Amino acid sequence: MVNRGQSVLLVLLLLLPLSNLKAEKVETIEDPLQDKLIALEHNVSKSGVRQVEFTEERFFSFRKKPIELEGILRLWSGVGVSISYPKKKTLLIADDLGVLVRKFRNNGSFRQKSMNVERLDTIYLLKAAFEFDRTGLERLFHLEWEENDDQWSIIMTPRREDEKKIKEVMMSGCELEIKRIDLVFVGEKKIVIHPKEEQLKEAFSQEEQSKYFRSPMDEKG
Amino acid sequence: MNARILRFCFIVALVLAGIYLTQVDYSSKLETDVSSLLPQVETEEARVARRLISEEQGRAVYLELSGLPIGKEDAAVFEKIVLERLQGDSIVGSVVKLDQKTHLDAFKIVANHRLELLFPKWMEGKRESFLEERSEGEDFFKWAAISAVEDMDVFLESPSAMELARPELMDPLLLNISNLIALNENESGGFASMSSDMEEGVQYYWLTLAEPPLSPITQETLEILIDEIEKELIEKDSGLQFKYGGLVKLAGASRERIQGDIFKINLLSVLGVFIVSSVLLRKPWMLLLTVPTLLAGVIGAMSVLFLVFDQVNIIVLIVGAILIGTAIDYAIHLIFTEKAEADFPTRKLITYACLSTVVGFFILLFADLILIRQIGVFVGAGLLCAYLMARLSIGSKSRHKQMALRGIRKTEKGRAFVAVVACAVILVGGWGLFGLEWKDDIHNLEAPDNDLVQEDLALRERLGSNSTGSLFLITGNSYLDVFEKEEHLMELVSERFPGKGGFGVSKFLPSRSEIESIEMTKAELPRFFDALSIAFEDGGYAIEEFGDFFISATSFVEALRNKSERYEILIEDFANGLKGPMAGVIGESDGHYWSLSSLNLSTEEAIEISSLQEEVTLFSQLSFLNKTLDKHRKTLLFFGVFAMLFVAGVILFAFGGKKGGLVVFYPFLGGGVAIGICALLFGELNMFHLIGCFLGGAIALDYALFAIESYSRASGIPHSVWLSAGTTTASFLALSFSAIPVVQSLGMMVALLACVTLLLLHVSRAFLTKSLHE
Repeated sequence: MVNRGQSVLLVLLLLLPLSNLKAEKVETIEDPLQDKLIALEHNVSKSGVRQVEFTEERFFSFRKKPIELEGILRLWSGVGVSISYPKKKTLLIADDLGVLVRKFRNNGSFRQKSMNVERLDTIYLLKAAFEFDRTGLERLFHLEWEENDDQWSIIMTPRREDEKKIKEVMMSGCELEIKRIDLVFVGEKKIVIHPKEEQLKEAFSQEEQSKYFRSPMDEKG
Repeated sequence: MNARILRFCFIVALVLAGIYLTQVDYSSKLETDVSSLLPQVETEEARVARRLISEEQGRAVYLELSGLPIGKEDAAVFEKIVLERLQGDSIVGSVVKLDQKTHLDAFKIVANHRLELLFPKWMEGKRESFLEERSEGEDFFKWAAISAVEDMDVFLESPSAMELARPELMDPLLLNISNLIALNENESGGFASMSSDMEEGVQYYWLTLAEPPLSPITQETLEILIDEIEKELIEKDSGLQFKYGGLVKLAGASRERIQGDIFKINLLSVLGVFIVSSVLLRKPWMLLLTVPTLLAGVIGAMSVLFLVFDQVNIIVLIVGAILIGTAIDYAIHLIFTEKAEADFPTRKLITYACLSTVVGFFILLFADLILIRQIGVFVGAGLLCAYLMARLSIGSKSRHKQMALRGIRKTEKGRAFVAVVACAVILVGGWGLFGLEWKDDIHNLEAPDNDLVQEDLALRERLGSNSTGSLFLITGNSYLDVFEKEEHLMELVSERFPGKGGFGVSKFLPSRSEIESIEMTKAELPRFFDALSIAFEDGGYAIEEFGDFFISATSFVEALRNKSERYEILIEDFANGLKGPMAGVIGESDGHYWSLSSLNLSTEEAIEISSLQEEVTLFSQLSFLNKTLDKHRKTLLFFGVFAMLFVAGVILFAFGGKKGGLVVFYPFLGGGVAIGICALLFGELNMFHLIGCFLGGAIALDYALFAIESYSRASGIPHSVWLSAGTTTASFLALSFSAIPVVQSLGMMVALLACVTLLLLHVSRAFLTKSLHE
């Protein structure tokens, strides 16, 4: 079963382009939302090493059907987060040093480069993700809570209206289970994430560590 | 004319020259720009290169404001201060804040005219792929259309799709997107794509100076302005740091070091002369008698130099130590020739020594390297004035000759030791000649502060500019001509060094052949765009969402006629719109066009490539000017040899075949040995070793004249020659303490040549005395 907290992490990772959105002040949030966030935080703190499979749909105005991708999210507490797209031989790594994109060749070797994401906010967001830093989220977004029978949604809208790419993020679920995450971008682009299987692990193997996370020898970028 | 009147006139002229020197505006007269050393008769490449070095790129100043508060509004306050202060100063021509927006703005013209500017290259690229991958009977346009859909699918699945898919940049062929991705992947080499991560709390600015960067006034004014801005910023937030870099800063630091060098070297030279005279003279204060000669030499050299040349390279003044060492000889000979040798033809000998040297140096006026001409005038005029002063102020009845010099104790053991040393010196020098190599390095003409240079490179790198790689300058009659050549260069590089490549604007802008190819297929192009729309429809795309792309395509095809002229105008607009580090990558001046390409080649590979393709020049301040200096060293050698032959002819004519021949032979031999020793000491010799050869040759000729004349009278080398050699060596060794490598080369070469010649003359005494008496 999908862990809701992990799904939140996934959302946060995908929110990296939002990096320079800044809030003028922190607003107090409603109680039902507060309860939900506390519950999610509780789930996140259970295990330091997790692996979540997901499907991703990318919607573009000029494409009649969405692009469909399958990915795996790997979480390693205190180290970083990685998202791999095995069929595309692409991997995104986010840690204290920033965001790194790896493209794998057929022989297993890879080339990598950093993504143009402002460093301090990336670190901040990841930290918020690992600790489920509610204050951090509230600084970036107006948070709204919607509930209908047993279905719930958290709607996050950026506090600053500027040239940045994300218009809205919506996390929907049932009880403590996240079913779907929608990221709506400017230019009629949208990403929909459907979390699937989750694996809880004691630790990543040496091979997984070197393949899916930044090694100490890697330069930043 | 009466000698007294002549003396009076000369002194009045010197006083006037001295007054003139006090009126000279040295800050505007002296220059430190090494690129000004380029010859006046220039190739088009040289002219463009000089402009780029001193003007286009030389005027760029990059600034880093760090320690800013996190938060756009807070940072904007400081940004406003920086921009207002910079824009409000007349020294600043333009200022740009570097960010992603600046980067995209630079490509606005390309984005707005994507079909005209980017489509020809896209089509040629597909045509090449088609030739490799096609199946029999397959239609190219259909294949290209399906390939475009596949490219789009791949892009939309990539992480960049969410980052870069701005609606205004999107088109079915990804014309803009693919070029932006290429630039963002650090393929732009030294041009800084601004793609590097811009850290939070840091802002970068790129400004272009309105004034020449090598002027001391510009350097000082900018430094004051930056200091003032920094002070204002720190008053508001003490955690802020404001750094700047660029040629203007490096040149300013270099100028300060050279100015320090002038004082240090000339002081050391005077000190050396004092120490030597203290050892060799019974009454060292008597050396003060040479002061009028020295003063006349210095005043004469500087006044003539500043009168003849509008601007004088500061390196010429460092050569002032040479003048001190050489000019003093005339006075020493006249004052300290021993009484016992009253009939010794001192005046005749120094007249020949001086006139031959002066004529030799004036021959350098025909050299096309301006620095060489300036040295020729400086040394020639200085020596002539020193000679005139010595002759006019030191009478033949000098009372100081008797017992002025300490005796030199000579023993058999000592003679044997000197002979062994002389043999060893000849052997070492001869050995050194076998591995002789010449190489000029423009960096040796500067006095850079290495820490400052490293700091500057680090700052530039933070702006996204990669300091590694080799820059190539390509010139042509039009932009399209230039891009065509640039493409050939890239092809040559990938053929010669597989896996190596680089960046130039021809990577995305079309070449003439690509435009011609598009024009030739004009009739068939509508079929391609039809195939493209069908392929995208079939691939699940809504083509109406690509805006007016397909409508533009129709009008683009209809207007396909005489496109070359249209391209030139568009590319010119693009070139004019480039800002920041990209400015100056392509350009035009007086109908000549150029582009700069950055290739990831080692220096050796870059040199090989530039020798294979004539239309391109390996371009950097270092390599370009080195090539020029290398060429002009050969010219200098020609003029130098010509001057030396002239001097030799005069000596042979005046002193006869045997005596004259020996006078010429010893400096020649000394020169050969000195070159060999310098080759061992320095590894590679440069143009300044060659200049040192000519200068040292002139001084050695003076010693040879006196020594041979003495030997012909069966006496030893006059003590005045030893004193002269001592002071000359001291003053030239002072040059070894210079921060400028070529000045060290010059000093060492002259000191060695003079010493070795004197040593050889000394050990040949018995042979020469016997041979001259026969």
